Amino acid sequence: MAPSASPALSARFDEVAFRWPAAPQPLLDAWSLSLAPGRITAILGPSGCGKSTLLRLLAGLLQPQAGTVTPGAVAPGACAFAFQRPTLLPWRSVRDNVALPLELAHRPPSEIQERVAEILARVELSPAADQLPGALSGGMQMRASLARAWVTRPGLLLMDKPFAALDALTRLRMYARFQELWEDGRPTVVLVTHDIDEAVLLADRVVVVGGAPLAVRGEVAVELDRPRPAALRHDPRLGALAERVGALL
Amino acid sequence: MRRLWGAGPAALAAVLILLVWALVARQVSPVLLPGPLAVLQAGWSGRGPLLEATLHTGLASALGLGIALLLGLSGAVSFHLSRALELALYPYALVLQTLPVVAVAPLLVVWLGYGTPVAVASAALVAFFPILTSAHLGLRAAPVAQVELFGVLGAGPLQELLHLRVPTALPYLFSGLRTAGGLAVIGAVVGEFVGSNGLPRSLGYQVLYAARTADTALSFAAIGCAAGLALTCFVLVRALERRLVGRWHPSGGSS
Repeated sequence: MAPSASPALSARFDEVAFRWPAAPQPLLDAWSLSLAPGRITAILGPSGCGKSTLLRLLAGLLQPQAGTVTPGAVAPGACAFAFQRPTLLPWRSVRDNVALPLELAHRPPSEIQERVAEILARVELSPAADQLPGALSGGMQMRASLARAWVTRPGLLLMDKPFAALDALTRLRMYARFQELWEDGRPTVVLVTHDIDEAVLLADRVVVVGGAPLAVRGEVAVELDRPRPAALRHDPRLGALAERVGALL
Repeated sequence: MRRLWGAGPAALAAVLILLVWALVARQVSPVLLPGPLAVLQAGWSGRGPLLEATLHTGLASALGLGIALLLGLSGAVSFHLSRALELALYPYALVLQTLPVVAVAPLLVVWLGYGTPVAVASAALVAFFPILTSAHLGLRAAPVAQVELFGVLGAGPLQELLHLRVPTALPYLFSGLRTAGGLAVIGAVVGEFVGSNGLPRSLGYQVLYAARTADTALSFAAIGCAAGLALTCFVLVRALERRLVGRWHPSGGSS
């Protein structure tokens, strides 16, 4: 039996303060942001402004100095994280890498096998299942990494510029894969990105942030039907949205 | 074929060295420097005791290396799990390395008596440090992103150790183990030098005995056996390394 998808989790920051040790000023000060369950929210902003820190706070990898973060550290393992780089374990085959989250959660082997085979088929990696990550192209590694994030059917998926390192063609294909996977369970997604077109194509809501301490510069709702094919990038509606987002940056 | 080519320069160098050695040996007394053939002859006529001694010393080295591996790994894992323990004991592990084994061996004789235990203990003593430091370094070598991944997945400390830290540490450990293998043979021979009363026969004793009786050729043959032992150790560790990490780590590849 494949596990059913976890219900979409809500994610929120309440009056959060965060400062790196020895940093001259806080990264976050009385920062609040609420992310609706079951929606895809893109967070867009200049490099180094603290977007990745937001994801690490949500995942409980970092602790705020004040305020509360939900889910945060109270629920380790509740969310999944897709890192900027694939971070696959080089000694494990693709199959075993994808199985890792289920193994660590002590799921029964039959369930692991079934679920991993299913998710590998969805990201078109079944033929490479027994290969080691070192033998894969960058795009295949990233697909394996996304499959690993998705294999537990998380209620909250945190994505840290997951498509940034891919070539243009692979990136377009990954947009389609990502949306298919999202449709299956519709988890809450927080997508940190530098790419305006990517943000408006994939997200329901684009939050533009910047400054120190971090502040919301503005946000744009994207109310277009799903699935959104990559060709939609050339749609004037999306172009207009991208322009609005660009003006906020 | 390519591998054979690679061995070419080394083989050529060996031939040249043997040639120079033979030429120089003809000019001086065989007590000072016996020629390669004389060494071979001495080794062949003394093959019984030499083989016995080599096996004996090999066993002592292997035992010492095993003990060092056990202690070094336990030490590295303990240091990894407890920062307090690391702060308290790691400086003394560093001090341990500065002790010359030749100076410590007589003490080992006092504690363990004459015989094989001294050789085993001194082999373990010198092999311990490279194993401890390489494993210690390796356990801390996991990339931050992978440590974060295990954090997000809610992995416990033991799961992180088993599924992330230990595999990451293996290539480091093997690099330490290659050094430790050669050192263990040296340690065992030194232990035998100091702690052997002639029974049982060992390479350390053979070298000492040959030098005392001015049988330089036999001395050379015994040293050759010790070198062969260290080389065997190296090759075995390398083979194990290739088997365990060769598939995924460049250090375990062909060379």
